[in-house]
Amino acid sequence: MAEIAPTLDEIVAPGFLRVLFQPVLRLRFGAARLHSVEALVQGPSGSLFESPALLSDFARRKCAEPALDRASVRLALSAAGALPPEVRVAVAAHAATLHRDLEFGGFLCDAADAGGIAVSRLTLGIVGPAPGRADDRLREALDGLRRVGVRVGLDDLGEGHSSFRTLLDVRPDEVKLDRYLLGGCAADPFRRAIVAAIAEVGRRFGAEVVAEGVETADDLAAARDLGIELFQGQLFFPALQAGEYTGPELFGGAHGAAGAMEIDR
Amino acid sequence: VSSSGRAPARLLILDDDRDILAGTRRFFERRGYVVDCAVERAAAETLLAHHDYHCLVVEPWLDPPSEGDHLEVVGRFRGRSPLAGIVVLTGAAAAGLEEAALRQGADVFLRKPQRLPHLARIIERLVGAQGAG
Repeated sequence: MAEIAPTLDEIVAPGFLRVLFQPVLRLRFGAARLHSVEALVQGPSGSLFESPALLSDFARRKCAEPALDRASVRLALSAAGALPPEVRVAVAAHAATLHRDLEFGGFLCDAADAGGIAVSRLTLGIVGPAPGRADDRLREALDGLRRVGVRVGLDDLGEGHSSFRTLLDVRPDEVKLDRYLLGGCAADPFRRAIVAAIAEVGRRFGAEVVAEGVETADDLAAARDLGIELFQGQLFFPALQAGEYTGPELFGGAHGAAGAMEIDR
Repeated sequence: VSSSGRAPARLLILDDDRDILAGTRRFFERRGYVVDCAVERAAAETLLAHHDYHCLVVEPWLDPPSEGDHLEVVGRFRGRSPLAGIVVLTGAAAAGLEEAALRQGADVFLRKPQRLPHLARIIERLVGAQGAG
């Protein structure tokens, strides 16, 4: 679909962005539990700026990550009130936002409060890269959020903008293994080597590893063999509207899993 | 441009004048092109990083202006899209711009106003040289 690319003001204005929520499952001992749901904030369906990666890239070029993150978080947490009341909710923010927007932590807590989400239910997934100049502002912002009960994640490790440096700066409680690394890992020993290395890094950091973009049973089995328990992807569930989580068919036959699912605490 | 059965050629137009964008876009869409438009450099660069274009039509003098040398944008686009045709279509009037634009990697330098059929012939030639369209 051809069109004029939106300006930053148009992107952050109410009504442009939309949010879907994708489940993250914990698979252990043959049982699946709902670990969390991740808010995926996108542009209008079918539009030039639909992709979250493209929105993020644009914000980075404009040095406007805080504006995009605030608009995304506000939208996600206002919609998250329709999710099951106990489930953990993951939202994302750029490392640059925490470095530059010193009020972002307070804003996040206020947005959660306005959406009826307890702060202890939040995971904040950090999107790299780490700020160019090393200082303590990012670490201090994250420590402040942890003190009020927010869990800190690191998104897209190993691809794009989240490097080992970002891992060191963020010291996450949870690490997202990028889908590029996982896709095809069952048949590719080199991919599997990287997945195994990140699983081990996660263990040593005391961080749980989430494998995102799981599309085949073989890749799932390969990742489980390497000790990964948390999964997200089309093999289980597509991204859903918040209201779809509380319907009568919650995780029923329509999406392939058997019966309603317990929430991982 | 899509009658051959190949995917339609894709154009990116950067100009801060939304009327020019709308008219140019309509004109080329009727001829079978896919046309994406941007009113600022950051949006154009973002689109270039995520999509492949056969031809870029660029007004380097934008309001508000980008940082640095205006024509530097042409060099950046050329670096990002080595094979795309690049047409600089500008309302700027200073002397020596054509030479500078070509040095930055533009294929063609045009001053506004231009008749759209003339622009179309130039773009068809640039796109055809890539075996696309």
